[in-house]
Amino acid sequence: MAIGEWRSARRAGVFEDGAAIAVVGLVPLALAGWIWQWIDARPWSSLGLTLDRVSASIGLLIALVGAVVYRFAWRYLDGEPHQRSFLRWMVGTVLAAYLLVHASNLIVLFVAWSATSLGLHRLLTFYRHPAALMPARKKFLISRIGDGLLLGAIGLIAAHWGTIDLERVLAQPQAPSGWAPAPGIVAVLLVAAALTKSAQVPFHTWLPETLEAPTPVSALMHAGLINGGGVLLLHFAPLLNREPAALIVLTLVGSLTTAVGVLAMWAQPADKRILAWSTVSQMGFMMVQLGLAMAPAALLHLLGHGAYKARAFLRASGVPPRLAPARPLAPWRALLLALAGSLASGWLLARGDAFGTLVGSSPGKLALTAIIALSLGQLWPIIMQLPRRNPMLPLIGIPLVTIGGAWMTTALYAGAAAFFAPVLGAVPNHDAPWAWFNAAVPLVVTALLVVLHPFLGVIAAHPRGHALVVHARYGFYLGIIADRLVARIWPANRRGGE
Amino acid sequence: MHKTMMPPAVAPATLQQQVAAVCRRVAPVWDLDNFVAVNPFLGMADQPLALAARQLRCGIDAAVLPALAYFRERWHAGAFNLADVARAAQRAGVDAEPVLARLRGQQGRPPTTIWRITSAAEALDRRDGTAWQSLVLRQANTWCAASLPPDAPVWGRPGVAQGVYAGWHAAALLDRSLELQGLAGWRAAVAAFPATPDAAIAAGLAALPLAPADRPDYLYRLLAGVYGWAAWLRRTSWPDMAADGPLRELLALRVVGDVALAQVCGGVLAHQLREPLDDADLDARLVLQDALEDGFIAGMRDPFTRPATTPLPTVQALFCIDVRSEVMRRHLEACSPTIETRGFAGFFGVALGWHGTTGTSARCPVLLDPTVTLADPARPGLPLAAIAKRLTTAPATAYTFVESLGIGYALNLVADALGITHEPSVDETSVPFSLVGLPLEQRITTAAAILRNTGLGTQTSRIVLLVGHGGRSENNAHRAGLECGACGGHGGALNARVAAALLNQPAVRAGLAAADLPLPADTCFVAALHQTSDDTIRVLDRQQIPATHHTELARIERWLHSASAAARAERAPTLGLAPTVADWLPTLRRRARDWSEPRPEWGLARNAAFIAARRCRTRGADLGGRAFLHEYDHRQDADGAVLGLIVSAPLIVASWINLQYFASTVDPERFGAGTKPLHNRIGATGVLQGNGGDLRIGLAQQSVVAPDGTWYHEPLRLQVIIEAPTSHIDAVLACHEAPRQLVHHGWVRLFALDPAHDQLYRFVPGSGWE
Repeated sequence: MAIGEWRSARRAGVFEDGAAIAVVGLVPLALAGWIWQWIDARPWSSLGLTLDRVSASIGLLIALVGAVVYRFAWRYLDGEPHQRSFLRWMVGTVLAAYLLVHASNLIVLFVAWSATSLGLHRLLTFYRHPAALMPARKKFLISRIGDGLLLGAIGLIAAHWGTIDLERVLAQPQAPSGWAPAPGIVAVLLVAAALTKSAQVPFHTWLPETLEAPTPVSALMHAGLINGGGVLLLHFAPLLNREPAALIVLTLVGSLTTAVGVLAMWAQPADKRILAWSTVSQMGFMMVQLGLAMAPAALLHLLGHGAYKARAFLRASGVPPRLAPARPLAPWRALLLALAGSLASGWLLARGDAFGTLVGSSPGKLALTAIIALSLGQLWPIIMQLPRRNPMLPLIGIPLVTIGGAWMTTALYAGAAAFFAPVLGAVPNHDAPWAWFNAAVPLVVTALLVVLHPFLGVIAAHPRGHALVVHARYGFYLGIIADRLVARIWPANRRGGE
Repeated sequence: MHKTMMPPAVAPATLQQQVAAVCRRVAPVWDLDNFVAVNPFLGMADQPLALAARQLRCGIDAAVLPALAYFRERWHAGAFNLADVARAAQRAGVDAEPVLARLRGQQGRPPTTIWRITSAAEALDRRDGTAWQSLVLRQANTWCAASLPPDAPVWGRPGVAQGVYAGWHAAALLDRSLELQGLAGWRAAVAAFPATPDAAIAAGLAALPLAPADRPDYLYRLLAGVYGWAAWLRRTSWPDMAADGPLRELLALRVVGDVALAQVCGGVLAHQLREPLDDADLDARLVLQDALEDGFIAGMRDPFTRPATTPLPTVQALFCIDVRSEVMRRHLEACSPTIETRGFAGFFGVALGWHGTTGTSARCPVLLDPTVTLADPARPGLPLAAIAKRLTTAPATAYTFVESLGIGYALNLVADALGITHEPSVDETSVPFSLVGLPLEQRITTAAAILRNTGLGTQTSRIVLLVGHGGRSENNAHRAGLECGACGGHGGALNARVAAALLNQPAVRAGLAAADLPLPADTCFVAALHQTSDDTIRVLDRQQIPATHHTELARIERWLHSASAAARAERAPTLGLAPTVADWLPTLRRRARDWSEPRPEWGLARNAAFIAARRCRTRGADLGGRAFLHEYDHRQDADGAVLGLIVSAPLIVASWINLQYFASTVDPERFGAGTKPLHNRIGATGVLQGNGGDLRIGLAQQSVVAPDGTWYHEPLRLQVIIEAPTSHIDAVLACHEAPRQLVHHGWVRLFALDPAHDQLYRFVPGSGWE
């Protein structure tokens, strides 16, 4: 669509044309940067910004989603009051997120980190309904906690490393000041800051409640801004990977968040709400991957989830075709099929692991491989439940998706590990006892959810199970509890900070 | 001056009857796949508009008529004048001076105070400054959204099998949300209520200081805030008014929730349940509404003075009565005096039940049941969307799914934004169907009914076009609202194709001849589709048209082409497109496929009139795409059978559409679906706004409000103009209750166009023709 035609939209002005050029122009810029990095993997730094394969890839996602969402909001919000102001804040927020991705000067990083949060706050309160204000306030307060934690980490780095340049910090595993606990404390502070930014339990409650913001905001937030925590941790991946305490916190909180997200998602009827809780769970899994020191996998997840979720939100209005009724499959059979499928997939993954990236001595890699095997195994009962035109469908479909899925995930993970290795370094092989514990937690949580899945109907029919469903519908009331806390700090009649 | 809101004229004897009467006030709502317009005041049609408006305001805070400021604005814009107001006041039997004073913005008499009954939660909120009402409503709506739609969450709908009330009761005892918000003891209070809905309602009402006569008002008030779910449950018992079971259960759960709250908070006193309310100048606004509509009638009166001349047509085209057809028909007729167009409900008398690859649907007005059942022979493909949904909600698989397919989704995102990829849809303009399964008898009777009811008769031209219509839009929850309402919220292509195929069959022709309906041997029925989003008309099933007719068809298609271009040129400015471009087709086509377009077309906005007359009475007149045009020739309808059919089906449907647009414009909070960027869809059931709340009914804001914030739809009641002697109309209305109620209670306005003269007679409720 030509810019000229955009101008014919009634409320578009000169500024919006400029903003449109900026936000759309970001795409070729980001694409050029990515191609450059693809050809020549040497990072390039200037003015506190760094272009490397990691920042170029996330930057490309942000630019893409930003341009698509901007174009979408241009038409979709036509006729909404303050559309122009909205579009400006949206451009500002996208640019801030783009800056955050590329920041290697820690002051620039902090400014961009805060700016995305403040920009998002404006976008979330576009409709000033009371229902929109409360989650926005929760988000605002949680973000300030995150700011404090990040500032603390940066202060410690400045004090003990004597620099605020990320490259130089990462180049020195131990603080030059000689204070041994410094890297550990910095890592934990960074992890805590990331947990506030990426909607991890208990800092997640605002996210499923921000549907009082227009659809394009949801798309931008769930695809781009929510990844801020992941981006921060990817920046510091080499440092984090050496700090067991930080990794364990990540894995524990991430595992809890995946479980809460999935259980709550299963209880939601409305599509955007399902998507929002799914994001909580997906962000939890990204944290788990970071906690397992599998930074390339986490990055792959961040990119894939962003693209998927942006489209899912923007398409949320269209009525999908009616679901064909699933073929009945007894829960026990579904579970046994899923387990058989997981074993077969696990065997395939182990055999086909030509790159040596998935299965290795590290328990983290083993856990992730097992989770992939569980995910492929679940395809078996799903295929058996499909409406069957051709009786051969399971016979062909099951081997096809199992082998195809195993091959595809292996290739993707191996490709990501190789592509991002120049920036993220090799995946470390932690195999101390803590690493086994660290790996067991997410695997057990995922396995429990997989076992639970076929029995949901059976469970809901039981009085205790019914209670679980009711509690899950409210996200286990964590949002209500957080509301009461926030109402005490920030009563409804105070208007500051918006 | 105090008066109660509604003097209980005939106080229903039993509680059971009171509850049933309250349930009957609710109009049904259809799901998004079959989204047809519904008159939201359907349950109120048995009362005069003024009385219903008071009830709706007291009960669910709804505004039925626009505010004074709107009338003032229209008056300043010249839509009506003071003489119109004076005449309207005289007809209504009220003094014009106070109305004029209100219109001018002068404060006349102090507003009249009426008293209403509120819920106990609202009484407590007024007394204590709390917000219990919204919390109790949130609890009810959260449960309803998760439990009532067939689009269930992954967990399923525990407890609902035992009934709406029983399911809620079981869930409420487990639900800690209210207690965590400070309402300790609420679950225990709920537990004390009986487990059956009728007993629970009785117990709840007995616990409140409420006179038996006030019970209906209290119960109706409880539906405010869950009105959308009430409408959804009303649909389950539609059209049987007696089977109000699930809706009664919804009332029960509201009673229990409300009374339990009152018990926890120390109870309410009788006077606390009453709240004063000013009547918001309702009487004045009623007069002004009438005056505004008089202004509209005065503006369109001119067309009927035209002489009736009918050259013999060389081509006849049957269009849907939809207001969007008016524009197209006018431009098509302008191409040649030998073109004759006729208006009929767009299902063309084929009450089709269609078994498609994505499900079964009724392709006929919701007032009818399908009689002709056909199936798509194609076998359903793999439900990819369904598989993706399963994968993204399965644990572990969801994570691997997004990682594996992320790149694909990124490409898809770009393709969507560039308008390359679109929602999958079945092309009903070419899907094969077979009439073999339909008994010949039924084919003949259906064909005969089409000829009789459309007034086509046996004097048909060589080519008779049957033009169905359909809308196209992308990523639009209310897409079905742009389709043909007479086809049950679906495109009209199939009905037109089936009708044409029926009428063209030699065996059917022979049967028709035997039934005294001999059609000329060279008459060929041709199906076509009017795409309303870009105003194009496409001829369908071309291979069925004999070679002998191809030359004529080519000429007709040239006419269709130029009429389409003219219709587009007329419509483009209303969509904010400057009239500088030679042809808007590419732009309109792109808009209809744009996933971010909130206003692909205006649909039936600005509809205002229903004209049942010979086309020669309106031919050549510019009715601005605001009139439903139904062909009617009273000379061939001595017994009133055809008019009876018109007033009891198409007129009702038109008034449903009219009042849906009316209500969605005037009170978007109660009767509209809210703004599109906040829509939160539940499967194919309906939409919520934002985080949750009530199910929304009616049209989205973007369907009735222009981008500059003004009302694009002008809320006028349907002006029904029938070309027939008044006595003929009276006789027909006497036999049909539903249209009679609409007319007598002021939900539509009725005019008779004298067939012999150009005189227009007005029916004034209460006093008759003038």
